[in-house]
Amino acid sequence: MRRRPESDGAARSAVGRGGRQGARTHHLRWRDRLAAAADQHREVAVQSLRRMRADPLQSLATMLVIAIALALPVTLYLAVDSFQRLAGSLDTGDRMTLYLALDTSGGDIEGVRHRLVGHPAVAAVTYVSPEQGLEEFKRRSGFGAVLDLLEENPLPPVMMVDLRGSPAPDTLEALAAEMAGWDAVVDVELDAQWLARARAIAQLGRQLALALGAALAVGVLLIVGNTIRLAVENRREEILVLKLVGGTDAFVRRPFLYAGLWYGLGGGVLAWLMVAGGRWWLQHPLERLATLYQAQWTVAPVDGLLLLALVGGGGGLGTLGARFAAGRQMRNIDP
Amino acid sequence: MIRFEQVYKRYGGGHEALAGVSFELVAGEFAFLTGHSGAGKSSLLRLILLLERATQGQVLINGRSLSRLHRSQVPHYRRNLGVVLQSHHLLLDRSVYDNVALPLLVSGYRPRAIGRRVRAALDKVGLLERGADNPLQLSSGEQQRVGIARAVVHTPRILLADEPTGNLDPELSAEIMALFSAFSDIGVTVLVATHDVGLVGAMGKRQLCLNSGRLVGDHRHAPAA
Repeated sequence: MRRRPESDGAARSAVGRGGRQGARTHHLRWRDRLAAAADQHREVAVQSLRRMRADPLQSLATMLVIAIALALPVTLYLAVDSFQRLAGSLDTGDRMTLYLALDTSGGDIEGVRHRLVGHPAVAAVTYVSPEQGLEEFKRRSGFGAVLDLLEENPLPPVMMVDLRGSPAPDTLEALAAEMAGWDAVVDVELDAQWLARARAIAQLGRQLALALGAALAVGVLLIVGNTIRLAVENRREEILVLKLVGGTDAFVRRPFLYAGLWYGLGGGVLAWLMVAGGRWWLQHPLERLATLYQAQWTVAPVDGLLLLALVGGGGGLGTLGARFAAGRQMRNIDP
Repeated sequence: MIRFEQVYKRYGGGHEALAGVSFELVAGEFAFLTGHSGAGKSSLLRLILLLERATQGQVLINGRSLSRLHRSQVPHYRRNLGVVLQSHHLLLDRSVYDNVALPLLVSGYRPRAIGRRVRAALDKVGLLERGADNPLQLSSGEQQRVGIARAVVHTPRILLADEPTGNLDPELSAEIMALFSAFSDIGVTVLVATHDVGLVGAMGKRQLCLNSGRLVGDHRHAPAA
Protein backbone atom coordinates (compact mmCIF):
# COMPACT_ATOMS: atom_id res chain seq x y z
CA MET A 1 0.00 0.00 0.00
CA ARG A 2 2.91 2.27 0.76
CA ARG A 3 4.68 1.54 -2.52
CA ARG A 4 4.09 3.94 -5.35
CA PRO A 5 4.65 2.09 -8.62
CA GLU A 6 4.12 5.31 -10.61
CA SER A 7 7.36 6.67 -9.21
CA ASP A 8 10.18 5.65 -11.48
CA GLY A 9 12.88 5.94 -8.83
CA ALA A 10 10.96 3.75 -6.43
CA ALA A 11 10.51 1.08 -9.11
CA ARG A 12 14.20 1.12 -9.97
CA SER A 13 15.32 0.88 -6.39
CA ALA A 14 12.91 -2.03 -5.90
CA VAL A 15 14.64 -3.81 -8.77
CA GLY A 16 18.01 -2.93 -7.29
CA ARG A 17 17.06 -4.58 -4.04
CA GLY A 18 16.06 -7.72 -5.87
CA GLY A 19 18.13 -9.89 -3.57
CA ARG A 20 16.04 -8.93 -0.59
CA GLN A 21 12.77 -9.21 -2.43
CA GLY A 22 12.01 -12.69 -1.11
CA ALA A 23 12.38 -11.69 2.49
CA ARG A 24 10.37 -8.53 1.90
CA THR A 25 7.53 -10.42 0.30
CA HIS A 26 7.42 -12.86 3.13
CA HIS A 27 7.41 -10.03 5.60
CA LEU A 28 4.54 -8.34 3.82
CA ARG A 29 2.55 -11.51 3.67
CA TRP A 30 2.99 -12.03 7.36
CA ARG A 31 1.89 -8.47 7.99
CA ASP A 32 -1.04 -8.90 5.65
CA ARG A 33 -2.19 -11.93 7.53
CA LEU A 34 -1.88 -10.14 10.82
CA ALA A 35 -3.81 -7.18 9.44
CA ALA A 36 -6.49 -9.50 8.10
CA ALA A 37 -6.78 -11.16 11.50
CA ALA A 38 -7.05 -7.77 13.19
CA ASP A 39 -9.70 -6.67 10.69
CA GLN A 40 -11.63 -9.79 11.36
CA HIS A 41 -11.45 -9.47 15.12
CA ARG A 42 -12.64 -5.89 14.90
CA GLU A 43 -15.51 -6.84 12.65
CA VAL A 44 -16.56 -9.77 14.79
CA ALA A 45 -16.36 -7.61 17.92
CA VAL A 46 -18.57 -4.94 16.39
CA GLN A 47 -21.02 -7.52 15.05
CA SER A 48 -21.35 -9.13 18.45
CA LEU A 49 -22.13 -5.72 19.93
CA ARG A 50 -24.74 -5.09 17.25
CA ARG A 51 -26.40 -8.41 17.96
CA MET A 52 -26.64 -7.47 21.62
CA ARG A 53 -28.13 -4.12 20.74
CA ALA A 54 -30.77 -5.92 18.72
CA ASP A 55 -32.12 -7.36 21.98
CA PRO A 56 -31.23 -4.66 24.51
CA LEU A 57 -33.51 -5.84 27.32
CA GLN A 58 -32.13 -9.36 27.34
CA SER A 59 -28.56 -8.05 27.12
CA LEU A 60 -29.11 -5.58 29.94
CA ALA A 61 -30.69 -8.27 32.11
CA THR A 62 -27.67 -10.53 31.63
CA MET A 63 -25.29 -7.69 32.43
CA LEU A 64 -27.28 -6.76 35.54
CA VAL A 65 -27.13 -10.28 36.89
CA ILE A 66 -23.38 -10.31 36.30
CA ALA A 67 -23.11 -6.88 37.92
CA ILE A 68 -24.91 -8.01 41.06
CA ALA A 69 -22.75 -11.11 41.28
CA LEU A 70 -19.63 -8.95 41.03
CA ALA A 71 -20.85 -6.13 43.27
CA LEU A 72 -21.81 -8.32 46.26
CA PRO A 73 -18.39 -9.68 47.18
CA VAL A 74 -16.73 -6.40 46.33
CA THR A 75 -19.08 -4.54 48.66
CA LEU A 76 -18.37 -6.97 51.47
CA TYR A 77 -14.66 -6.64 50.85
CA LEU A 78 -14.83 -2.85 50.88
CA ALA A 79 -16.86 -2.94 54.12
CA VAL A 80 -14.25 -5.14 55.78
CA ASP A 81 -11.47 -2.93 54.50
CA SER A 82 -13.22 0.18 55.81
CA PHE A 83 -13.80 -1.48 59.17
CA GLN A 84 -10.12 -2.23 59.37
CA ARG A 85 -9.26 1.34 58.51
CA LEU A 86 -11.60 2.48 61.29
CA ALA A 87 -9.97 0.09 63.75
CA GLY A 88 -6.56 1.32 62.74
CA SER A 89 -7.43 4.97 63.10
CA LEU A 90 -9.04 4.81 66.56
CA ASP A 91 -7.01 6.45 69.32
CA THR A 92 -6.48 3.33 71.42
CA GLY A 93 -3.31 1.76 70.24
CA ASP A 94 -0.80 4.50 70.79
CA ARG A 95 -0.91 4.48 74.57
CA MET A 96 0.45 1.93 77.01
CA THR A 97 0.63 1.47 80.72
CA LEU A 98 3.68 0.02 82.51
CA TYR A 99 3.11 -1.49 85.97
CA LEU A 100 6.20 -1.61 88.15
CA ALA A 101 6.92 -3.92 91.05
CA LEU A 102 5.43 -2.82 94.41
CA ASP A 103 8.78 -2.57 96.11
CA THR A 104 10.56 -0.66 93.37
CA SER A 105 12.93 1.89 94.84
CA GLY A 106 12.81 5.55 93.89
CA GLY A 107 16.09 5.17 91.99
CA ASP A 108 14.80 2.26 89.92
CA ILE A 109 11.62 4.17 89.16
CA GLU A 110 13.73 7.08 87.98
CA GLY A 111 15.78 4.61 85.90
CA VAL A 112 12.70 3.25 84.08
CA ARG A 113 11.45 6.76 83.54
CA HIS A 114 14.78 7.77 82.11
CA ARG A 115 14.82 4.81 79.80
CA LEU A 116 11.33 5.59 78.56
CA VAL A 117 12.06 9.22 77.86
CA GLY A 118 15.12 8.20 75.88
CA HIS A 119 13.21 5.62 73.84
CA PRO A 120 12.67 6.67 70.23
CA ALA A 121 9.06 5.41 70.13
CA VAL A 122 7.99 7.35 73.21
CA ALA A 123 6.50 10.84 73.00
CA ALA A 124 5.69 11.52 76.67
CA VAL A 125 5.79 9.78 80.03
CA THR A 126 3.62 10.44 83.04
CA TYR A 127 4.56 8.86 86.36
CA VAL A 128 1.75 7.98 88.72
CA SER A 129 3.01 7.08 92.16
CA PRO A 130 1.09 4.55 94.28
CA GLU A 131 -0.15 7.43 96.47
CA GLN A 132 -1.40 9.42 93.49
CA GLY A 133 -3.01 6.29 92.17
CA LEU A 134 -4.82 5.65 95.42
CA GLU A 135 -6.03 9.24 95.61
CA GLU A 136 -7.39 9.00 92.12
CA PHE A 137 -9.04 5.67 92.82
CA LYS A 138 -10.67 7.04 95.96
CA ARG A 139 -11.99 10.01 94.09
CA ARG A 140 -13.36 8.00 91.18
CA SER A 141 -14.68 4.92 92.91
CA GLY A 142 -16.33 6.58 95.91
CA PHE A 143 -14.90 3.86 98.16
CA GLY A 144 -12.80 6.46 99.99
CA ALA A 145 -13.80 5.43 103.52
CA VAL A 146 -13.32 1.75 102.82
CA LEU A 147 -9.95 2.30 101.28
CA ASP A 148 -8.83 4.25 104.34
CA LEU A 149 -9.09 0.98 106.24
CA LEU A 150 -6.27 -0.53 104.22
CA GLU A 151 -3.03 -0.69 106.10
CA GLU A 152 -0.90 -0.63 103.05
CA ASN A 153 -1.28 0.85 99.59
CA PRO A 154 -1.93 -2.12 97.25
CA LEU A 155 -1.29 -0.10 94.10
CA PRO A 156 1.98 -0.34 92.17
CA PRO A 157 3.91 2.56 90.68
CA VAL A 158 2.65 3.20 87.15
CA MET A 159 4.13 4.80 84.05
CA MET A 160 1.63 6.14 81.49
CA VAL A 161 3.36 6.22 78.14
CA ASP A 162 2.21 8.16 75.06
CA LEU A 163 3.77 6.86 71.91
CA ARG A 164 4.93 8.73 68.86
CA GLY A 165 2.55 8.49 65.87
CA SER A 166 0.22 5.52 65.52
CA PRO A 167 2.32 2.39 65.40
CA ALA A 168 0.96 -0.70 63.69
CA PRO A 169 -0.43 -3.39 66.00
CA ASP A 170 2.56 -5.64 65.41
CA THR A 171 5.04 -2.88 66.29
CA LEU A 172 3.00 -2.09 69.37
CA GLU A 173 3.11 -5.64 70.62
CA ALA A 174 6.81 -5.88 69.97
CA LEU A 175 7.31 -2.68 71.92
CA ALA A 176 5.23 -3.96 74.82
CA ALA A 177 7.19 -7.20 74.88
CA GLU A 178 10.45 -5.26 74.90
CA MET A 179 9.45 -3.09 77.85
CA ALA A 180 8.00 -6.02 79.77
CA GLY A 181 11.53 -7.40 79.81
CA TRP A 182 12.96 -4.40 81.64
CA ASP A 183 13.97 -4.54 85.29
CA ALA A 184 11.23 -3.55 87.70
CA VAL A 185 8.55 -3.72 85.02
CA VAL A 186 5.97 -6.33 85.99
CA ASP A 187 3.37 -5.87 83.30
CA VAL A 188 2.72 -3.84 80.20
CA GLU A 189 -0.85 -3.22 79.20
CA LEU A 190 -2.02 -1.97 75.87
CA ASP A 191 -5.44 -2.16 74.35
CA ALA A 192 -4.16 -4.95 72.18
CA GLN A 193 -7.05 -7.24 72.92
CA TRP A 194 -9.49 -4.98 71.22
CA LEU A 195 -7.14 -4.69 68.28
CA ALA A 196 -6.70 -8.43 68.08
CA ARG A 197 -10.43 -8.93 68.04
CA ALA A 198 -10.89 -6.34 65.34
CA ARG A 199 -8.19 -8.01 63.33
CA ALA A 200 -9.79 -11.42 63.69
CA ILE A 201 -13.18 -10.07 62.62
CA ALA A 202 -11.60 -8.34 59.63
CA GLN A 203 -9.80 -11.54 58.68
CA LEU A 204 -13.05 -13.48 58.89
CA GLY A 205 -14.84 -10.88 56.79
CA ARG A 206 -12.09 -10.89 54.22
CA GLN A 207 -12.14 -14.65 53.91
CA LEU A 208 -15.91 -14.58 53.68
CA ALA A 209 -15.67 -12.03 50.87
CA LEU A 210 -13.19 -14.27 49.11
CA ALA A 211 -15.42 -17.34 49.40
CA LEU A 212 -18.45 -15.35 48.29
CA GLY A 213 -16.41 -13.98 45.42
CA ALA A 214 -15.36 -17.45 44.30
CA ALA A 215 -18.94 -18.75 44.48
CA LEU A 216 -20.31 -15.80 42.58
CA ALA A 217 -17.52 -16.02 39.99
CA VAL A 218 -18.76 -19.52 39.24
CA GLY A 219 -22.21 -17.96 39.09
CA VAL A 220 -21.04 -15.45 36.47
CA LEU A 221 -19.51 -18.29 34.43
CA LEU A 222 -22.84 -20.12 34.50
CA ILE A 223 -24.90 -17.04 33.66
CA VAL A 224 -22.74 -16.13 30.69
CA GLY A 225 -22.51 -19.79 29.72
CA ASN A 226 -26.25 -20.16 29.64
CA THR A 227 -26.76 -16.99 27.61
CA ILE A 228 -24.11 -18.05 25.14
CA ARG A 229 -25.52 -21.56 24.93
CA LEU A 230 -28.85 -20.09 23.79
CA ALA A 231 -27.09 -17.81 21.32
CA VAL A 232 -25.22 -20.77 19.84
CA GLU A 233 -28.49 -22.69 19.54
CA ASN A 234 -30.12 -19.75 17.78
CA ARG A 235 -27.32 -19.62 15.23
CA ARG A 236 -27.10 -23.33 14.57
CA GLU A 237 -27.57 -22.93 10.83
CA GLU A 238 -24.78 -20.38 10.59
CA ILE A 239 -22.38 -22.58 12.53
CA LEU A 240 -23.28 -25.48 10.28
CA VAL A 241 -22.49 -23.52 7.14
CA LEU A 242 -19.29 -22.06 8.55
CA LYS A 243 -18.04 -25.52 9.47
CA LEU A 244 -18.97 -26.81 6.03
CA VAL A 245 -16.95 -24.14 4.21
CA GLY A 246 -13.88 -24.75 6.38
CA GLY A 247 -14.30 -22.45 9.37
CA THR A 248 -12.01 -23.54 12.19
CA ASP A 249 -13.43 -24.05 15.67
CA ALA A 250 -11.71 -20.84 16.75
CA PHE A 251 -13.33 -18.89 13.95
CA VAL A 252 -16.79 -20.25 14.63
CA ARG A 253 -16.39 -19.65 18.36
CA ARG A 254 -15.06 -16.11 18.05
CA PRO A 255 -18.34 -14.14 17.87
CA PHE A 256 -19.56 -15.91 20.99
CA LEU A 257 -16.38 -15.20 22.88
CA TYR A 258 -16.76 -11.52 22.04
CA ALA A 259 -20.38 -11.62 23.16
CA GLY A 260 -19.21 -13.10 26.48
CA LEU A 261 -16.54 -10.42 26.72
CA TRP A 262 -19.08 -7.64 26.15
CA TYR A 263 -21.48 -9.07 28.71
CA GLY A 264 -18.65 -9.28 31.22
CA LEU A 265 -17.36 -5.77 30.54
CA GLY A 266 -20.86 -4.32 30.74
CA GLY A 267 -21.48 -6.22 33.96
CA GLY A 268 -18.21 -4.90 35.38
CA VAL A 269 -19.10 -1.29 34.64
CA LEU A 270 -22.59 -1.72 36.08
CA ALA A 271 -21.13 -3.37 39.19
CA TRP A 272 -18.84 -0.39 39.71
CA LEU A 273 -21.79 1.98 39.33
CA MET A 274 -23.71 -0.04 41.92
CA VAL A 275 -20.87 0.05 44.41
CA ALA A 276 -20.19 3.73 43.78
CA GLY A 277 -23.92 4.46 44.13
CA GLY A 278 -24.09 2.58 47.40
CA ARG A 279 -21.03 4.42 48.64
CA TRP A 280 -22.62 7.74 47.77
CA TRP A 281 -25.87 6.75 49.44
CA LEU A 282 -24.07 5.84 52.67
CA GLN A 283 -21.90 8.96 52.65
CA HIS A 284 -23.64 10.80 55.53
CA PRO A 285 -24.12 7.93 57.97
CA LEU A 286 -20.50 6.96 57.46
CA GLU A 287 -19.29 10.47 58.12
CA ARG A 288 -21.36 10.64 61.30
CA LEU A 289 -19.93 7.35 62.45
CA ALA A 290 -16.44 8.70 61.90
CA THR A 291 -17.21 11.82 63.93
CA LEU A 292 -18.63 9.76 66.76
CA TYR A 293 -15.40 7.81 66.97
CA GLN A 294 -13.43 11.04 66.60
CA ALA A 295 -11.48 9.19 63.98
CA GLN A 296 -9.49 10.36 61.00
CA TRP A 297 -11.30 7.88 58.86
CA THR A 298 -11.83 7.40 55.15
CA VAL A 299 -13.91 4.59 53.71
CA ALA A 300 -12.13 2.31 51.24
CA PRO A 301 -12.13 4.22 47.94
CA VAL A 302 -14.43 3.37 45.03
CA ASP A 303 -12.01 4.56 42.39
CA GLY A 304 -10.60 3.98 38.93
CA LEU A 305 -8.52 1.06 40.12
CA LEU A 306 -11.62 -0.70 41.41
CA LEU A 307 -13.36 0.03 38.09
CA LEU A 308 -10.42 -1.49 36.28
CA ALA A 309 -10.50 -4.57 38.51
CA LEU A 310 -14.26 -5.03 38.07
CA VAL A 311 -14.18 -4.51 34.30
CA GLY A 312 -11.15 -6.78 33.97
CA GLY A 313 -12.64 -9.47 36.18
CA GLY A 314 -16.02 -9.23 34.46
CA GLY A 315 -14.48 -9.36 30.99
CA GLY A 316 -12.29 -12.31 31.89
CA LEU A 317 -15.11 -14.28 33.47
CA GLY A 318 -17.45 -13.46 30.58
CA THR A 319 -14.98 -14.68 27.99
CA LEU A 320 -14.20 -17.79 29.98
CA GLY A 321 -17.87 -18.64 30.48
CA ALA A 322 -18.51 -18.14 26.77
CA ARG A 323 -15.54 -20.32 25.91
CA PHE A 324 -16.80 -23.20 28.01
CA ALA A 325 -20.37 -22.99 26.78
CA ALA A 326 -19.57 -22.40 23.11
CA GLY A 327 -16.94 -25.13 23.03
CA ARG A 328 -19.28 -27.68 24.56
CA GLN A 329 -22.29 -26.70 22.50
CA MET A 330 -20.41 -26.51 19.22
CA ARG A 331 -19.21 -30.08 19.39
CA ASN A 332 -22.87 -31.08 19.19
CA ILE A 333 -23.40 -29.16 15.97
CA ASP A 334 -22.01 -31.00 13.03
CA PRO A 335 -23.20 -30.63 9.47
CA MET B 1 -7.99 -36.50 -7.28
CA ILE B 2 -10.66 -38.54 -5.53
CA ARG B 3 -9.91 -42.18 -4.91
CA PHE B 4 -11.95 -44.73 -2.94
CA GLU B 5 -10.33 -48.04 -2.01
CA GLN B 6 -12.69 -50.73 -0.71
CA VAL B 7 -14.57 -48.23 1.43
CA TYR B 8 -17.12 -49.46 3.93
CA LYS B 9 -19.37 -47.31 6.05
CA ARG B 10 -21.49 -48.89 8.74
CA TYR B 11 -23.71 -46.99 11.11
CA GLY B 12 -24.71 -48.02 14.58
CA GLY B 13 -27.41 -50.67 14.39
CA GLY B 14 -25.60 -52.56 11.65
CA HIS B 15 -26.92 -50.56 8.72
CA GLU B 16 -24.33 -50.70 5.94
CA ALA B 17 -24.40 -47.48 3.91
CA LEU B 18 -21.40 -48.27 1.75
CA ALA B 19 -19.89 -51.69 1.06
CA GLY B 20 -16.59 -52.14 -0.71
CA VAL B 21 -16.78 -49.04 -2.90
CA SER B 22 -13.75 -48.40 -5.13
CA PHE B 23 -13.37 -45.82 -7.87
CA GLU B 24 -11.16 -42.98 -8.93
CA LEU B 25 -11.83 -39.54 -10.38
CA VAL B 26 -8.91 -37.72 -11.96
CA ALA B 27 -8.42 -33.98 -11.74
CA GLY B 28 -10.88 -32.06 -13.90
CA GLU B 29 -13.19 -35.06 -14.30
CA PHE B 30 -16.95 -34.68 -14.11
CA ALA B 31 -19.00 -37.59 -12.79
CA PHE B 32 -22.54 -38.23 -11.66
CA LEU B 33 -23.34 -40.35 -8.65
CA THR B 34 -26.68 -42.02 -9.15
CA GLY B 35 -28.91 -44.47 -7.35
CA HIS B 36 -32.16 -44.60 -5.41
CA SER B 37 -32.48 -42.59 -2.28
CA GLY B 38 -30.82 -44.58 0.47
CA ALA B 39 -28.36 -46.16 -1.97
CA GLY B 40 -25.46 -44.41 -0.23
CA LYS B 41 -24.94 -41.31 -2.38
CA SER B 42 -25.05 -38.89 0.52
CA SER B 43 -22.90 -41.13 2.68
CA LEU B 44 -20.25 -41.18 0.00
CA LEU B 45 -20.24 -37.39 -0.25
CA ARG B 46 -20.14 -37.08 3.54
CA LEU B 47 -17.01 -39.22 3.60
CA ILE B 48 -15.29 -36.89 1.14
CA LEU B 49 -16.41 -33.87 3.17
CA LEU B 50 -15.09 -35.57 6.31
CA LEU B 51 -18.44 -35.13 7.97
CA GLU B 52 -17.98 -38.80 8.64
CA ARG B 53 -15.11 -41.22 8.48
CA ALA B 54 -15.00 -44.57 6.71
CA THR B 55 -15.45 -47.64 8.87
CA GLN B 56 -13.02 -49.53 6.68
CA GLY B 57 -10.99 -48.83 3.55
CA GLN B 58 -9.31 -45.67 2.33
CA VAL B 59 -10.51 -42.40 0.93
CA LEU B 60 -7.63 -40.59 -0.78
CA ILE B 61 -7.91 -36.99 -1.88
CA ASN B 62 -5.09 -35.73 -4.05
CA GLY B 63 -3.09 -38.78 -2.98
CA ARG B 64 -3.57 -38.14 0.71
CA SER B 65 -5.47 -40.51 2.94
CA LEU B 66 -8.25 -38.77 4.84
CA SER B 67 -8.00 -41.20 7.73
CA ARG B 68 -4.68 -39.63 8.66
CA LEU B 69 -6.12 -36.15 8.84
CA HIS B 70 -6.34 -34.88 12.39
CA ARG B 71 -9.54 -33.24 13.57
CA SER B 72 -7.84 -29.85 13.72
CA GLN B 73 -6.79 -30.12 10.06
CA VAL B 74 -10.31 -30.82 8.82
CA PRO B 75 -11.32 -27.13 8.37
CA HIS B 76 -8.22 -26.44 6.30
CA TYR B 77 -8.89 -29.54 4.22
CA ARG B 78 -12.49 -28.47 3.59
CA ARG B 79 -11.29 -25.19 2.09
CA ASN B 80 -10.21 -27.23 -0.95
CA LEU B 81 -13.79 -28.33 -1.49
CA GLY B 82 -16.89 -26.60 -2.75
CA VAL B 83 -20.25 -27.99 -1.71
CA VAL B 84 -23.73 -27.49 -3.07
CA LEU B 85 -26.52 -29.12 -1.09
CA GLN B 86 -30.13 -29.71 -2.00
CA SER B 87 -31.38 -27.34 0.65
CA HIS B 88 -29.26 -24.34 -0.16
CA HIS B 89 -28.27 -23.55 3.46
CA LEU B 90 -28.12 -19.84 2.82
CA LEU B 91 -28.09 -17.58 5.87
CA LEU B 92 -31.15 -15.38 5.83
CA ASP B 93 -29.83 -12.75 8.21
CA ARG B 94 -27.39 -11.39 5.63
CA SER B 95 -27.18 -10.41 2.00
CA VAL B 96 -26.45 -12.62 -0.98
CA TYR B 97 -23.01 -11.01 -1.16
CA ASP B 98 -22.20 -11.86 2.46
CA ASN B 99 -23.39 -15.42 1.97
CA VAL B 100 -21.08 -15.93 -0.98
CA ALA B 101 -18.20 -14.31 0.92
CA LEU B 102 -18.33 -16.84 3.79
CA PRO B 103 -15.72 -19.33 2.47
CA LEU B 104 -13.29 -16.44 1.92
CA LEU B 105 -14.05 -14.96 5.32
CA VAL B 106 -13.20 -18.18 7.13
CA SER B 107 -9.95 -18.44 5.15
CA GLY B 108 -8.84 -15.01 6.32
CA TYR B 109 -9.06 -12.98 3.11
CA ARG B 110 -8.93 -9.17 3.30
CA PRO B 111 -12.17 -7.35 2.41
CA ARG B 112 -10.78 -6.00 -0.86
CA ALA B 113 -9.77 -9.43 -2.13
CA ILE B 114 -13.13 -10.76 -0.99
CA GLY B 115 -15.05 -8.18 -3.01
CA ARG B 116 -13.29 -9.02 -6.25
CA ARG B 117 -13.81 -12.75 -5.89
CA VAL B 118 -17.41 -12.55 -4.74
CA ARG B 119 -18.33 -10.36 -7.69
CA ALA B 120 -16.59 -12.79 -10.06
CA ALA B 121 -18.48 -15.75 -8.56
CA LEU B 122 -21.82 -13.94 -8.66
CA ASP B 123 -21.12 -12.92 -12.23
CA LYS B 124 -20.47 -16.54 -13.16
CA VAL B 125 -23.92 -17.61 -11.93
CA GLY B 126 -25.58 -14.54 -13.45
CA LEU B 127 -26.48 -12.82 -10.20
CA LEU B 128 -24.02 -9.95 -10.14
CA GLU B 129 -26.85 -7.44 -9.71
CA ARG B 130 -28.45 -9.25 -6.77
CA GLY B 131 -25.58 -9.07 -4.30
CA ALA B 132 -27.28 -6.62 -1.97
CA ASP B 133 -30.55 -8.57 -1.83
CA ASN B 134 -31.59 -10.90 0.91
CA PRO B 135 -31.70 -14.55 -0.20
CA LEU B 136 -35.43 -14.59 0.57
CA GLN B 137 -36.03 -12.09 -2.25
CA LEU B 138 -34.67 -14.61 -4.76
CA SER B 139 -36.45 -17.44 -6.56
CA SER B 140 -35.47 -20.97 -5.61
CA GLY B 141 -33.44 -21.31 -8.80
CA GLU B 142 -31.57 -18.12 -7.96
CA GLN B 143 -31.04 -19.29 -4.39
CA GLN B 144 -29.51 -22.50 -5.68
CA ARG B 145 -27.22 -20.44 -7.90
CA VAL B 146 -26.15 -18.36 -4.92
CA GLY B 147 -25.27 -21.66 -3.27
CA ILE B 148 -23.15 -22.55 -6.28
CA ALA B 149 -21.44 -19.16 -6.25
CA ARG B 150 -20.61 -19.77 -2.57
CA ALA B 151 -19.25 -23.22 -3.46
CA VAL B 152 -16.86 -21.91 -6.12
CA VAL B 153 -15.91 -18.46 -4.83
CA HIS B 154 -12.68 -19.76 -3.34
CA THR B 155 -11.79 -21.70 -6.53
CA PRO B 156 -11.87 -25.15 -4.92
CA ARG B 157 -10.20 -28.12 -6.55
CA ILE B 158 -13.17 -30.36 -5.93
CA LEU B 159 -16.83 -29.47 -6.31
CA LEU B 160 -19.40 -31.74 -4.68
CA ALA B 161 -23.13 -31.42 -5.19
CA ASP B 162 -25.92 -33.37 -3.49
CA GLU B 163 -29.14 -33.22 -5.51
CA PRO B 164 -28.42 -29.66 -6.63
CA THR B 165 -31.40 -29.62 -8.98
CA GLY B 166 -33.80 -31.41 -6.63
CA ASN B 167 -36.52 -28.80 -6.71
CA LEU B 168 -35.80 -27.00 -9.94
CA ASP B 169 -37.54 -27.25 -13.29
CA PRO B 170 -35.70 -29.04 -16.15
CA GLU B 171 -34.61 -25.84 -17.84
CA LEU B 172 -32.97 -24.46 -14.69
CA SER B 173 -31.46 -27.87 -13.97
CA ALA B 174 -29.79 -27.98 -17.35
CA GLU B 175 -28.48 -24.47 -16.79
CA ILE B 176 -26.92 -25.43 -13.49
CA MET B 177 -25.41 -28.60 -14.90
CA ALA B 178 -23.86 -26.55 -17.68
CA LEU B 179 -22.29 -24.38 -14.96
CA PHE B 180 -20.81 -27.43 -13.26
CA SER B 181 -19.53 -28.69 -16.58
CA ALA B 182 -17.82 -25.37 -17.21
CA PHE B 183 -16.01 -25.68 -13.87
CA SER B 184 -14.72 -29.13 -14.76
CA ASP B 185 -13.43 -27.65 -18.02
CA ILE B 186 -11.11 -25.39 -16.04
CA GLY B 187 -9.76 -28.30 -14.00
CA VAL B 188 -12.15 -28.62 -11.08
CA THR B 189 -13.08 -32.20 -10.22
CA VAL B 190 -16.87 -32.34 -10.05
CA LEU B 191 -19.00 -35.05 -8.45
CA VAL B 192 -22.76 -34.60 -8.57
CA ALA B 193 -25.13 -36.89 -6.71
CA THR B 194 -28.54 -36.99 -8.34
CA HIS B 195 -31.46 -39.27 -9.15
CA ASP B 196 -32.41 -37.15 -12.17
CA VAL B 197 -31.76 -39.86 -14.75
CA GLY B 198 -32.90 -37.80 -17.71
CA LEU B 199 -30.40 -35.11 -16.91
CA VAL B 200 -27.55 -37.58 -16.55
CA GLY B 201 -28.31 -39.14 -19.89
CA ALA B 202 -28.36 -35.80 -21.63
CA MET B 203 -24.96 -34.74 -20.31
CA GLY B 204 -22.94 -37.69 -21.57
CA LYS B 205 -20.68 -37.80 -18.51
CA ARG B 206 -19.29 -40.60 -16.42
CA GLN B 207 -21.84 -42.18 -14.13
CA LEU B 208 -21.20 -44.05 -10.89
CA CYS B 209 -24.26 -46.02 -9.88
CA LEU B 210 -24.82 -47.10 -6.29
CA ASN B 211 -27.28 -49.69 -5.11
CA SER B 212 -27.62 -50.60 -1.44
CA GLY B 213 -24.17 -49.26 -0.77
CA ARG B 214 -22.45 -51.14 -3.59
CA LEU B 215 -21.04 -49.65 -6.75
CA VAL B 216 -23.02 -51.51 -9.42
CA GLY B 217 -22.17 -49.43 -12.45
CA ASP B 218 -19.38 -47.20 -13.70
CA HIS B 219 -19.95 -46.18 -17.26
CA ARG B 220 -20.04 -43.28 -19.62
CA HIS B 221 -23.19 -42.27 -21.47
CA ALA B 222 -22.84 -41.24 -25.03
CA PRO B 223 -23.89 -37.62 -25.26
CA ALA B 224 -27.41 -37.22 -26.52
CA ALA B 225 -27.19 -36.51 -30.21
